Amino acid sequence: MSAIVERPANARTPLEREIFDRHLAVVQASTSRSFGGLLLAQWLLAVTISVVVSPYSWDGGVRHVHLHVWIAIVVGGVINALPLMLLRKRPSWWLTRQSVAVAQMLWSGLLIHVTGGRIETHFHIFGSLAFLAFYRDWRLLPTATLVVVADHVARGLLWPESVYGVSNPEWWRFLEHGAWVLFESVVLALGCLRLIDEMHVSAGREAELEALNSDVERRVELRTSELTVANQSLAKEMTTRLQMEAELRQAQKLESVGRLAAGVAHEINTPVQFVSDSVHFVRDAMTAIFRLVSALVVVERSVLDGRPSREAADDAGVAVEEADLPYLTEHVPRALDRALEGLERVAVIVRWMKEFAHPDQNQMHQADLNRAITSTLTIARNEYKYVADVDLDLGDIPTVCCLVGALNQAVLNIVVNAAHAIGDAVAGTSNRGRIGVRTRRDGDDVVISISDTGGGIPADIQGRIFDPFFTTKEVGRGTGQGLSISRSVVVEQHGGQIDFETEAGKGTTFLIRLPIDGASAGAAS
Amino acid sequence: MSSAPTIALSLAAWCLMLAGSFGIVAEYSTTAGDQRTPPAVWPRDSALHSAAGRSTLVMFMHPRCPCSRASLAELEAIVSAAPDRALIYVVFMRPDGAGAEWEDTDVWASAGRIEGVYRVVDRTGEEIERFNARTSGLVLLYDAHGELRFSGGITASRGHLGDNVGRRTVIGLLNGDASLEAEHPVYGCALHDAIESGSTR
Repeated sequence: MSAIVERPANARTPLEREIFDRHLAVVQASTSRSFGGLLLAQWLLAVTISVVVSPYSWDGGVRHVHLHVWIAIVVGGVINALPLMLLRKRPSWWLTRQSVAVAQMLWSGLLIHVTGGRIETHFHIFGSLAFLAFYRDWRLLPTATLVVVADHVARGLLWPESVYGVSNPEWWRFLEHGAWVLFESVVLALGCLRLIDEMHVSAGREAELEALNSDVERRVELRTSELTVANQSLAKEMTTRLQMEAELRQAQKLESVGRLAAGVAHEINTPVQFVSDSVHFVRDAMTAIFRLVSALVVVERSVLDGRPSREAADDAGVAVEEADLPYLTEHVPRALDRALEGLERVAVIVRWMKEFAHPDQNQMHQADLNRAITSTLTIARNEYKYVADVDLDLGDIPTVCCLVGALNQAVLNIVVNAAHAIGDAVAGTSNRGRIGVRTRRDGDDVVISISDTGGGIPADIQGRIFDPFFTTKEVGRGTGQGLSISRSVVVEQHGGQIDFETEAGKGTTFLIRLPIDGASAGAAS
Repeated sequence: MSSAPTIALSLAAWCLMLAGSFGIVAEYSTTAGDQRTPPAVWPRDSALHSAAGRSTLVMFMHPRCPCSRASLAELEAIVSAAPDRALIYVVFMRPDGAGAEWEDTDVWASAGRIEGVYRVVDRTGEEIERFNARTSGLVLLYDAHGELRFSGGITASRGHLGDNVGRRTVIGLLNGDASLEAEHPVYGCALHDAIESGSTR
């Protein structure tokens, strides 16, 4: 038998006492309901038995309702009257339980009486005592015992057959019966006390559990509140970050444009320079020619006037000699061709620049990626032309549904990185590197590969190159946003893939895979 | 209900009613039936024949009296305790105008199951009148000489089984103990109306 370790009553907490009282009230209310049913059932059973077994008494041939029937109805009703009324009005009152105990024992007495003191009927007493113990109120058992003993004493003296079944029992017979009843009552009372102790222990545990739950709930509420605040802060930070990222993308684009502006200016300056030289040459040539033409006009007038002027002819000859007509005849057209060529180069650069700086779009459109790549390479030429040559291998690819301005930016970032990598690799030497740009179709995708012959990406940073703000370049040469933006453009905006292969000392190849129909990307944000 | 006087009053009323109820029960159960003086010797004009050389026991029975089941049970106990010591008749009353179904009851059947018991239906009520019987369960015991040795019931009270003076007396007399009480109260339904009916026929 396990020992019940119970704390002293004064150590019980109010919550523990409340739980105990609540549980005991539930148990006692349930027992009261059962006893209400039992009392009614015994009453009904007594009436039924009396009606079935002895419905009538007889005076010869005349019958009357047997007094047993009235006894069952009236006496049973009297026995049940008080407890049933109390069970209905005050089911949890102590006096209600006491009245139930008395009534149940009286039912035992009545049943023993009507069965002529049959010993078998005495078991009703023991069953009733056990049932009363369901209340877990030991105080009911002395009451019940007293009723039984008093009944046995009274009837033993006045009418022993009705309780003992014999007419002349020993005087101490009530003690024998009472002793057995007392024995069971004591056992049941001890059982009640033990159950009460266990209920106290259980209530203590439940109180501890409730306190723990309450503490846990309080902690959860606190943590939830903190998490809510943290979430709000995080959401705010995310909003700020998204805004900053957008601003950074724009800034990076502006930075690219700014950095490219010098190269583009240089690219434009060169043809503009030789256009200017050619125009100056043509202007000087035209001056000499105009001077020669003026001298020839004087000669012509003198001849037409009939007075040819030797002096005019000499001046014309000097002008012809100074103009160097054969030279002009040969070089003026060339100068004009060079000027036209220079203007054409400027026009091309401006056109590619315009295409590269494709205005941002919110919706995808079909675009020729080969043409986009060409424009990007053109405006980025100043970034790589001093250190590398470009191998362009543009395959037969279909138009791609994309945000072409964003893709231009992505390709430019990789090309500029390639130029920087090659620049670092060939620094201090006369060597030049190579940038290979290739496009091809692969199933439903278009793949753009951009390779360089730079120094490759060190293994320890390969996992971080797409992280925002990660850069190995010195301050002012890069913001660390280039590859991050390229990855964002390819993966998030186009549902594509971007990956790289690198080998130390040999170079790096970036592979951009884009779905042709742009379907997996959905609407761009 | 919660005030102390109300509680006390309710308890007192309940206790009084309980006492009254159990008093009525006790009073009813212990109130004996009408008992008259039977013939001191076996009436020669009876249709029943006394036993030669041994006692004759006559029990008068109302076939529909529920209390008499206990009397029959006690008679069976007597037969068991003193087998073959007496010729036993159980005389069932039948009121005027009643048919054979009158005594077709469990009491009649119970009597038939007792070994050595002769069931007799007193259709005219003459035997009941002759023996001056008034209450179901009355037992008259005549000795081998036709003299009355016992008159009364063989249950302790109305419908109660178990040891009682009447049963012990009859068993004692049958077993040769002549010093016992000759009378005992009888508990059962009245045969009175039947007697009156029988006497008018």
